[in-house]
This record gives sequence, structure tokens and C-alpha cells, in this order.
Amino acid sequence: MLAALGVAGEVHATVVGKVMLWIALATAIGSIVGWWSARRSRADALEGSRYVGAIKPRNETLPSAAALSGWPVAQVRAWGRPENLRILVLIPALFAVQAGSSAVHGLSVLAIWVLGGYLGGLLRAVWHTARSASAWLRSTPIPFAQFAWAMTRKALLHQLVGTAVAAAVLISLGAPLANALYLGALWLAIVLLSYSIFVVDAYRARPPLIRLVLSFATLAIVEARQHGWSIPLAALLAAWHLRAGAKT
Amino acid sequence: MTSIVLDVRDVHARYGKQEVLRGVTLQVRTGQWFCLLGPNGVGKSTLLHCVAARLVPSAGDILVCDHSVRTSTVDAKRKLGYGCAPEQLPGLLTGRQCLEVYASAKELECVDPEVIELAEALKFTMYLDRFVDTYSLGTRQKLCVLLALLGQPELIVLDEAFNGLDPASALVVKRHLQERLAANRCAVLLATHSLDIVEHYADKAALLLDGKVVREWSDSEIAAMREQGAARFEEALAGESS
Repeated sequence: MLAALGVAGEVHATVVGKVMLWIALATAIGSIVGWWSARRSRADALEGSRYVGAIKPRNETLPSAAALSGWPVAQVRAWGRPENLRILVLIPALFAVQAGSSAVHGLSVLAIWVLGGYLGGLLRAVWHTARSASAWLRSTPIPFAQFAWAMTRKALLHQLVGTAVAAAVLISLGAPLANALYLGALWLAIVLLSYSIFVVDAYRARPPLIRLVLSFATLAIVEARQHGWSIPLAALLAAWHLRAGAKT
Repeated sequence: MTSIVLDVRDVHARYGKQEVLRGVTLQVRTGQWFCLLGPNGVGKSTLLHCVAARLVPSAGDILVCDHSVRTSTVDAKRKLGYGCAPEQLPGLLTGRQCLEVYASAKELECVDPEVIELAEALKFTMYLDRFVDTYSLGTRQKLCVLLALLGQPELIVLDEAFNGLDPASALVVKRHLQERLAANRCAVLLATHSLDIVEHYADKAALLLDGKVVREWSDSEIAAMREQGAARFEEALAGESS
């Protein structure tokens, strides 16, 4: 674009030349650094638990499914290793901050990006971990209710708190209160419905794609006809999926 | 008189269109160590998956302590301890958390002190508060065995459980299983390639080929081969396989 402007005579040719030179130089340096760092460390070869945090040593071993509830959160942390985070969150976040914005505005946008990435990752992590947990525990008589509650309890709490924080940040950025609350409620409805499908299908060892597509298509149709109705409908669908899962 | 703990009745199983098990029938009694032998890919693990209610047979039935894995799945699962494959362990949980979750899933009120003692004998306690994804294969294998032994199962199902275990740890596990068997507290079904285990520990063995049991060896036959020399069982197995 700069080159085109230069040709059109709107920007001085030397400015265009300098900018192009800097871009070329930055690209060359970035390529060399990227190539070198990729050769130097194989990030995926490192254990995911390095990014989870230390566990306090204990002396007692008591039956409890509590550890299952921390697994999706641990999985997001393992996925959120710096190498992944810088690509998936930081670069888009930096581009989203407009030039001339205040520091508070920039940080708020960055916080929304990071929080959005975390909550999105947590949505996916529940499916990922529920499927692994189900395969691992398949030869045990674990009841569905225990499995579903253990897999989603902590993730739901994080979603709730994270959504509240995101809504507050949106309001601080100037979004109308009603819109921020609506977005928050809609996200929580999506989470609730997705989690219910994930735990049922993981427990039953079947793919969730068809139920996800049908459920969200229904939500989209209802939302298009009647604004806001998709939220209670999502809760109803989630209850229906869970009830079906509990019967098995 | 010992009771039948596992009764596999003409079981067929398939993955998609491929039939892996084609009518397997066998019985395991309390106090018996039953070894399942066969080359790779003949269906040993598939049979264990069916026994552990991880895979539903396409035909036939499996009774664990008189509970069908098809119709009384939960009751059957309460009676068995399955040693999962090491790669199925959750990498982001610690060994202690795995034991706790498994004990909870098995509806236990406490983790058996016997299992904790075995963990100490296997020098596993130092790994209890470390994440599973930092474990070596042998350490994972120890955890798989410990999980399988939780809750006093009447049928212990192990798939190549001694792979990756150091000789000292393998001996500890074998002796522990022998103690349980001697007290008639359980039966062991082990899929293995180790003929040493068959010769020295098994009460019964079966050879699986192309999804069928083609040969069974009784306690007395195994004892006879043990006396004839170390390679006798190997030769017999090679003869059957060819």
C-alpha cells in the first residue's frame, strides 16, 4: 500500500523506501530468530505439567474426584505455554489496540484478549480432558453425575468469574451495561450447553459434533427470531442433555 | 472348591468392519493366574478391553463374578481391577491424585493400606506428588498396577503389565499377586509375551491366534514343561503358532 502511495506521489518516495527497508530488515531478523529458536528448543517436547504449577506434597491419600475438576484448568495452563500464548493471544491483542489509545484503554483491550483466550481455551479443555478421563476411568463404575460434576465444577466457576470480569472490563471500555450483560449471559449459556454435551458424549465415548451443531443451530434460529431467548433455551437444552446422560 | 470369576462365552468383537475376536471361550477361577499369549495383533488386548467393559462384544457374553458385562455392567465393574495402558494415565495429575480419583470412581471409602504398602515396596512413594507426565514408562507401569489393585478386586486384568518394570519391581508385583492368589482373594488375567511368567507363575495359559483360542495349557502341563527345561514352553508355543 505504501509503495502504491509512493507511486501515486502522495507519500515521499524516500519515506516509502525507508519503511520498506525497515520491514524487510525486521522480516529477515525475525525469520533468522524464529528459525534459530525453533531449532534450539522443541516446545512440545516439554511436559505440560511444567506450566501447571507445583502441587503441595501430602501424606494422606483419600478417595476424592476433586483432582478431576482441576484437570481442565491445568490443561489450559499447559496449552498456554509462552510459545503458544505469544502467537495466539499477544500478537492479535497488540494489533487490536489502536494507535493513539490511552494506556488504560490498551491494557483493557489486552485483558479482554487474554481473558477471552483463557475462557475459550477452558471451553475446549473440558472436552479434551473429559474424553481422556472417560477413557481412563471406563473400567470403573463411576456414575455419570459424579463424572460430570467433577469434570466441570472448577471450569464453570472460572467461566463465571472470568465472564463477570470481562463484562466489567467491557463496561469500563464504554460498552452499554445491557449489551455487556447480554454478551456475558450469552457466553455462559454457550458454555453451559457445550459442557453438558461434552460430558455426556465423553462419558458415552461418542463424538459430540452432531449434537453441538444441532443445538447451536437451534439457538441461532431462536435468537434470530427473538432476541435474548437463546439464553434460557440453552439452559433447557443443557438440562435435557444431562438428563439423557444420567439415564445411561 | 473355587468359583468361576471370569466366564468368557463365545465372544466376538470388532472394530468397524474388522472382526478381531471370533468366538473366544475361556474360564478363570478364583486363585488362578491365567496368562493370555499370542503374537501381536491377534486380539489379546481387545479381549481384555471386552472383559474390562471398555468394549462391547458384538456377540457372546462375559460374566465377571456372575455379572454380565453387557447387562450388569456396573456390578461387573465393581468386581474387577483393570490395569490400563500407561499412555492412558492423565499426565496433568499426580500419582496421588490418580489413586484418589480411581478410588473415588471405584466407590471406595479409603485407599487400601495394602496398595500404599505395595507403593512403598515399589519405591513409588517418592513419585506420588509428581505429575504423571514426568514419569518414566516403568514408573507409569507401577501406577497402573497400583490402580488395578485398588478396592480388593476379585478379577485383576493386566495388559503387558511387566513391560518396562525393572526386575526387582517386577518381582515385588509378582509376589504380591501370588499372595493374593494364594489366599483365594482374586484371579489374575494377564496378557503377556513373557514366557518366563507363564512358566514360573501361571496356573493356566491360553494361546490366541486370529481371534480364537487355539490351545490351552493346564497347571499340570505347565508344570511338566517347567521340569523339561527353560526352552520347552517356547518350543511348544512356536509349534502351535506355526
